[in-house]
Amino acid sequence: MLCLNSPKVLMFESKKISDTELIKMINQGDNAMNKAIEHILDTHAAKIEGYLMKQNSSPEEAEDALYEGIAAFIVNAQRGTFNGESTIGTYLTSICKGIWFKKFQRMMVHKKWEAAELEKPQNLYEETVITTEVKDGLDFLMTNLKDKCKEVLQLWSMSFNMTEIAQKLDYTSSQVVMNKKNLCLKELRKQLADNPNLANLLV
Amino acid sequence: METQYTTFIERYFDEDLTIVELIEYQELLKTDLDFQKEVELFKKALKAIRLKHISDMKDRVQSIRNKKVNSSKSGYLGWMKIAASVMLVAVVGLGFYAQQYKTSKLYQEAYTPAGDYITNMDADMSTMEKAMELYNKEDFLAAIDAFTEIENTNPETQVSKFYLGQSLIQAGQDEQAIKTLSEVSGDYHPEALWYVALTQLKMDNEAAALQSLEHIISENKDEAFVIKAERLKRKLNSPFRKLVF
Repeated sequence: MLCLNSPKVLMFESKKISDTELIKMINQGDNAMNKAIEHILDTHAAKIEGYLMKQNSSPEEAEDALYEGIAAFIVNAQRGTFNGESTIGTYLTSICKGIWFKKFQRMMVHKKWEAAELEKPQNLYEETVITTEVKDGLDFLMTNLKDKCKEVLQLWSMSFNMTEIAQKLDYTSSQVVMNKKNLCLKELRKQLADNPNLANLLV
Repeated sequence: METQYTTFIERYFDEDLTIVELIEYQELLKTDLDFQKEVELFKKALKAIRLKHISDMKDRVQSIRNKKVNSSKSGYLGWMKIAASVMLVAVVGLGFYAQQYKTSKLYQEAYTPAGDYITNMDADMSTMEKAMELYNKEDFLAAIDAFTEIENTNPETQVSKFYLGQSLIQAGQDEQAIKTLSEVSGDYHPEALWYVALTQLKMDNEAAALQSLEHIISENKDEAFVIKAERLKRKLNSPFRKLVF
């Protein structure tokens, strides 16, 4: 991980891509999205991890918060909730430090980081952070769902309407999507009802 | 699993209810325990989907970085092999080393702009946050004005002094940047001194740069910058470099 910070790697840093272009690449998905993630890592990872470590974070915690922060940012970009009012760097830093604090509940030791800022509801990331327990629980809950089901539910959760989902996933009509969504959601609700311990993780 | 409410709640989550139905929904939510429980299950299902999406994306980010790190490592090993071959013709390669140890090259390798860690996402930004936003949007001349204004009203604020120095570097006002950064104290002091050293290097004032690096090392206030300073000092004092320059 640390070798990404080394001057040797920085020498070969990819050319600068604008924030607007990055959002486009994220929404294209597949390889374009991977390139965007790579660029975000090249541009922001060292700074964000360095900053968190300055606040007493361990390298592992900083790395974890960074990945989760970038993931949350990408999902926000896909949902269209990142409106470009601030730069990606500012936005991402804000998410990562919030997640790190929420996840590791560290005391704030730096005057730059005011408690008030963290208490403000910003809706930049989910209230629940991804711990190992939550991750395993989610994997278990989704076990019975087929990939197509997960795709439909994922797009629905991002507020795409049935017509848009039908177009994206090549379904013949929005009604087919609606039925599929309701069926998949029913299965997921059943899993949650059958596993109250896992459901309780999702506070 | 299916109850009398299921379709009704599904339509709520699809934003398909009429105003009258919405009122009915709110009423049931207040009064009917079974309804509340079922709505709660829908909410948790939605949350699970969102979290799973983030969790999968997190894995993707991690795997992209791991691949990059591995390819950097193998790339590095590849370079080592090439370097070994090059050593066989070391005399011919002297020019190559000369390039590697040029002051400007060392500066380029070591310099990365300081990042922004202060701004938040709210509309009611403070003067400092507004200045930081200008810095972050790379409007450095406007950032200089904004930080100078803060500096004039609150000269003890070290953050603004530090970022004023950074903006001056970015705007190419190197001498003023050195002067400003040299005055930074507190938490930002080691980092400010690091940028002083780099700017001195950029200005080809190697002796001053070495002195600043030595200062960072002897003060030993921030390990990260001590390591950086030691590394750069080693390169500046490298025998190869002395051979060529």
